[in-house]
This record gives sequence, C-alpha cells and structure tokens, in this order.
Amino acid sequence: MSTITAEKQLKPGTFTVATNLDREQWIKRLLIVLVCVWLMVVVVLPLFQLLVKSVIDDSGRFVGLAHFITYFKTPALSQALFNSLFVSTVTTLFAVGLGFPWAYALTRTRMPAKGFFKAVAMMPLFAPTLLNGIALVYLFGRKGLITRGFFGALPGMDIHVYGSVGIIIAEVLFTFPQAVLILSIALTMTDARLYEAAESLGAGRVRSFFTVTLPACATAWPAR
Amino acid sequence: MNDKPTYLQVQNVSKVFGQFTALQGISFSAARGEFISILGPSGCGKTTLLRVIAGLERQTRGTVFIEGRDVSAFPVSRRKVGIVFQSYALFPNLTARENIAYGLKRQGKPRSAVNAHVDELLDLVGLGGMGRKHPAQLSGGQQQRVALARAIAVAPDLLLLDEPLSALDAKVRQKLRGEIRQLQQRLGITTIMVTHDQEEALTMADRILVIEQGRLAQDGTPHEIYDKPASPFVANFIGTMNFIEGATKIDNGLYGIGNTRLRISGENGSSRLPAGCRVTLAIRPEDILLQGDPAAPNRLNARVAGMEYRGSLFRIDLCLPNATHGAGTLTAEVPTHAVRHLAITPDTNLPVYLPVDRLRVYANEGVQVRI
Ligand SMILES: Nc1ncnc2c1ncn2[C@@H]1O[C@H](COP(=O)(O)OP(=O)(O)OP(=O)(O)O)[C@@H](O)[C@H]1O
Ligand SMILES: [Mg+2]
Repeated sequence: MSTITAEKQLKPGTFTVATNLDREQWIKRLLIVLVCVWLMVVVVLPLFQLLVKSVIDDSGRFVGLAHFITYFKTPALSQALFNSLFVSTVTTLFAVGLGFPWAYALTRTRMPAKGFFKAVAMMPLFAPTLLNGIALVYLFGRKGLITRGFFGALPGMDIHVYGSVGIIIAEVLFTFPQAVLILSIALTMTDARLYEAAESLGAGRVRSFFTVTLPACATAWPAR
Repeated sequence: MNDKPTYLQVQNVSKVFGQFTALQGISFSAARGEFISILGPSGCGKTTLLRVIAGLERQTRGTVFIEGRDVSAFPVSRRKVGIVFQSYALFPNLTARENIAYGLKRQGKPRSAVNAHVDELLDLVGLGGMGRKHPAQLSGGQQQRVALARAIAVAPDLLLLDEPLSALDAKVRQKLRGEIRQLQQRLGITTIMVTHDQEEALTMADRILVIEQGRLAQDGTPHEIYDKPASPFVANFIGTMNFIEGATKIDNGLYGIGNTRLRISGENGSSRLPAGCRVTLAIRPEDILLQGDPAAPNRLNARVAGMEYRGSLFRIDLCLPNATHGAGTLTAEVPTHAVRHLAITPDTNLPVYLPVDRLRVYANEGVQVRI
C-alpha cells in the first residue's frame, strides 16, 4: 500500500519539474527573440535605411554606386575613413597592449595592493565621459598644464591633443577597463593543470606563456 | 620484483595544507618497471601523494628519492616523469599531434624525426590518422590515449597516472586497462597509477598501496591485499567481508562468540593479543562453505534467510540462530552449480563451515596491535 501512495505523491512532482523546464525554455526563447528584435530596430534598420539612402539621390532616383565613387574621389572624405580605421586600430593596440600586462599582474602575480590597482583600472567606467575630455584639455590643451610646462616652471610640451592623438588617448582611456576585465577573466579561467602539464613536459615560463596563456586569451579576442 | 633495483623511494612523507594533514608518514618504494596502484576513497590524499612524487607539490616533511638521489628540491621538469592528469589536461588549442609533440620540441630533434616519432606514438596508442584533430573533436577515450602518448613521448623513467580511466564508460575502461598495462610492460616504465576503483587496482597492478585518510593502510600485492587485508578498513574497501563482532580470544587459535567456539589457524599476529581480548573475526563471502566433513571444525547451524541470483553464483544470506552475540547473519557466495546440487532454497536449514585458514582476526579499536 505504502509504495502505491508514494508513487501517487511522486507523479505530480515530476510534472511540475517538467513544466518548470518547459517554462524556462520558453522564457529563454522569448528573450532571444526580444534581443533579436531589439537589435533589428536599433542596428539593422538604421543601417539599412542608411544604405538605401546611399544609393538614391536627393530627388529619390536610384543612382547605384555613384555616391560611393564620389566619396572615394573626394580626398577629404576618404581621408576621414582612413582616419577612423587608423584611430580604432591604434586604440585597440594600445588598450590591449596596456591592458594585458595589467590583467596579467592582477591575476598571475603576488603583487601587493591588487584591489587598488583593479579599482584604478576600473575608474574610467565610473567617471562621467566628459571628465576624460576636460582632463585632457586641462593637461594637454593649448593652455594646458603640461603644454605650458606647469606655468613655465618646466619646458612646455605640445602633443597636439586636438587631433588623432587626443582622440586615441581618450579612446584608450575609455576602452582600457573593458580590456582589463575581459583579459583578467580569460587569465583566471585558464586551467592550472595545463600549466602543470606544460611544465612536466619541460616547457619553461616563456613557452607556457605562449602555448597556454595566450591561446586562452585569444578566445577573449572577439569580445574586443 | 624484489630482484630489481629500487627506482623510487618515498620516505616518511607528510603534507600539511594549513591546518589539514593530507598525508601522514607515507613510506614505500617502487622497483624499476613495477606497476604500483594507489587505492583509496575520495579525499584520502591519493592525488596529493602523486603530486609530491611528481614534484608539483612540495612535501611538508620526508624525502623522495629517485635512483637513490634526493629529488625533493627538484622541479617536475627535472624528475623525468610523464604525467597523465585526472581528466587529461590536453592543450585545447593544439591538435593531437601537436599535443604529443609538445615535450619533444625542447629536445632539439630535427622536425622529420619528431614527426616520425609522433606517428609511431599515435599508432602505439591506436590513434593512427587522428593526429589532425583537436581535443574537443576527440572522444573521452581518444583524449585519454593522446594524454598517454603525450606523457610517454618524452621517454620518462616514471609514469604517473591520476585516475586515467575514471571519466570513461565501463567498456572502454576495460579495454584501455589492458592496453595501458601492456604498453607499460613493453616499455618497462615504472608506473604509479592513482585509482579509487578496486577492480582496476587488482587487475593492473603489481603492488597496491591502500591509503586511508592520508595514512598508508597497507602495501602489498593484489593477492596479499585481498587475502590478508591488514585492517577492517582495507578488508571492506577491497571486495566484501563478513565481520563477526563481539568475539573474545580464549587462547591462541581459539575464539568464542556466545557459546560457539571457533578455531583459527595461521593467525595474523593475533597471538600477541592477551586472552580475554575482544576481537572482530572476518571471512570473505566466497570462503564460507555449505558442505564439508561433518567432523570439521567451525561447523555452525544456519538458516537461509535470503538468496540473490548473480548468474554464475548466488549470494546467500545466512542466519545463525546459535550465535547469541552480534554474529547474526553472514553472507556467502556460492557457485550456482553447488546451490543446485545442494538444493538450497530460502528457509533451508543447513550447516555452514568457516575454514580455519580463511578466518581473519582483528583487534577491536583501542587495542594496539599492528598486524
Ligand atoms: N591545495 C590544497 N589546499 C588545501 N587542501 C587541499 C589541497 N589539495 C588537496 N587538499 C585536501 O587534501 C585532501 C586530499 O586531497 P586529494 O586531492 O589528494 O584527494 P584524492 O584522494 O585524490 O581524492 P579523489 O579521489 O577525490 O581525487 C582533500 O581533503 C583535499 O581537500
Ligand atoms: Mg584525486
């Protein structure tokens, strides 16, 4: 008798589990659909709109690639495209080049005051974006603290902050925290046994860095 | 194995993590070419011991000797060991070939020689033609083979395996068990394999170390471990054992439970116990006989309380009405043909024989006699 009642009690339980799972699945799908719709609205549609506009002229006639040809024939405009690519490439190189040693020091060394350095790396995330600009102008602007050499106390130095240099500095400041975060995660997630395996096979620090650490971080690359 | 020179010697090794003692005074040695299995329940310190031997962990006390040399201060790269880690630790970004070749690079061989060697190793572990795949594209058993090939590629003098088969299903495990053993014998590498699978240890190893909470509970051949377990822990961990509690020593070779007298020959050091001492007697299920010479000693009356069919044998629960103390029930394993011959059915009353040379004596807790 007792086993039968036990079974009866069990059954509704199993059903609840099943429906819970189903519901979870549904919520997951719904969220995925919502995200897709959102991306459509804010990314794909404007881009599409832009593309459509790019192949018609002011009066609404289709002109094919004429606009593009004019664009690339106008030196000032094609220069702008080149500048954008140049700035983003250099920014990436600097953000990763600075972020990697920083993340490495945070995760793989016994450096003191890790909390402090982590907080420093994260600071640009919390500062208002305007702050970067104002600080750069105050330091490197035409009358900036460094440009004028601390009110003439030192020889001044003008780095021409109103141009690509300034943009790159600002962008690096802005992307540095993300770079450190992503790379730290990649560095902490590497399996410690892989290092031990490398060591047992005779690899030194340099080789395990290139064969274990870097590949693990490479998986974090696309996030850049 | 005694005629072969000692390759590895572990002397009085202890390892303490903070407050926790993971290993306590472990000593053993391995002859060249010997296959030793470290067996014990989860968390008993098997991996820790292996890591100390490998040089991945530094012992708190004690010494590790390789070929008579104290290597305690040597890092893993100087100990000439090949390691297969629990769950393999293959480099995910490298192909099977590149994984196997990893340790060969530093030896400065020409590329063609390395390639030929890797091909040879791939064939050796039965993965010919799979070299281009990445670990994620290989099955568990194939990854295990790559890990093994990678470990032996550097021609280590000592092969350390940490539960190499635990992640595999029973069939593959069975197959690889034999293959690893064959390979080890062919290459003559001294091997230490951690496992918590008693069958694996019994079938593969020349010698087994049983570890209980960081201490060495027994060091012996599979035969010794199974036949003469040094403690109830070992007896229970390897195979099954009937324990008859509440027995008292009457004289050397003579024990009493209630008004039953049991004779025991070939005592395991229990002759040092004083008369009147409380002991636990033990016997393996397959050693209990249901037929024999009526005049033989240790003949008890029993009733069949339950029978479980296991194909080639029956597990039979026996109730011992005469034994007033504890002894209650014994489990016997009886070949099916004997059960058929004796026409045993539930509730049959029959005599059981406990052979004098198959009973073991264990002093109860608190009585300090090492066996
Ligand atoms: N680095 C460490 N720091 C602290 N405690 C540790 C460390 N490594 C192991 N231990 C402890 O030492 C004990 C033995 O661990 P070990 O890994 O050797 O067990 P094991 O016998 O290999 O177990 P399993 O069969 O589960 O792999 C465990 O209780 C574990 O918690
Ligand atoms: Mg372990």
